Amino acid sequence: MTDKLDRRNAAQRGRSSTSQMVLLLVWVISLVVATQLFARTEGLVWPIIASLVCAASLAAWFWRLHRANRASSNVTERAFGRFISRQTLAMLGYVLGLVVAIYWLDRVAQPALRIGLIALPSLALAGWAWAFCAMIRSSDEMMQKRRARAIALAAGAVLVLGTIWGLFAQLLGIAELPGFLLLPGFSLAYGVTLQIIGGQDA
Amino acid sequence: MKNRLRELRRELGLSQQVLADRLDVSRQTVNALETGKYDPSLPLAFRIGRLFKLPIEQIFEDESAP
Repeated sequence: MTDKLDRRNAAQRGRSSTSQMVLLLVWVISLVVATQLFARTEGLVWPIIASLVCAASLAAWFWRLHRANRASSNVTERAFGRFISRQTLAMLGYVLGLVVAIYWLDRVAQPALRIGLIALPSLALAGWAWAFCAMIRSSDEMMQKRRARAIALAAGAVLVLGTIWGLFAQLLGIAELPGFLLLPGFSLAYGVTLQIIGGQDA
Repeated sequence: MKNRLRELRRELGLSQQVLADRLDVSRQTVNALETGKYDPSLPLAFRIGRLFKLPIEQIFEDESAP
């Protein structure tokens, strides 16, 4: 009886996750299509339609996530839901900040404005780091332990691999590791590590 | 550490999710506790004891004890 209830809840969560995944997929595809249309076509009709699909799918995704989050009575699950929304907003801010910075950097001469432009994507990254810490702080004890372990292992792996790459770059003249790849590299290592140490539980 | 969490939960007719909500932890944590993959902290063990109205040693069994 109780196991049936668990299976039914898991099935409902699965359906909700699937619809969120589909919306995210639509969002990413429409974002790429809209960007390409804006860059390559003269007319505005199709780029605007693609942008509207992009905005609508993102809004629908946020709405579904918010609804699923509100329905959950569990503190840890709600904290993770909040993190997903905040992370998406931070990454959106990062990409938009990067686009603005790249576009305006050559057109601005004042040093203060140039620093401000570069600070735009950096602020979004700081926001992501805050959301990440807030999620870990709000998790329960097992999740906190597993996530802290995954962070330590991922940071260690990135440091060691970065140092080895640096040695090869210094001594053998291979390309330097671009510094802005450190955070994506850490995120990838963190995700993989969390799955390895936590299995399906994480 | 072995425990009787699954058995006690079933006796009360609770799902893992409901137990997790009552203990203020995630469902994954309840699952990890039941399968013996995670040993709870002392405060969580006390919360579990209070919920089932049992002393901790009647729920958890220290396998390394002589």
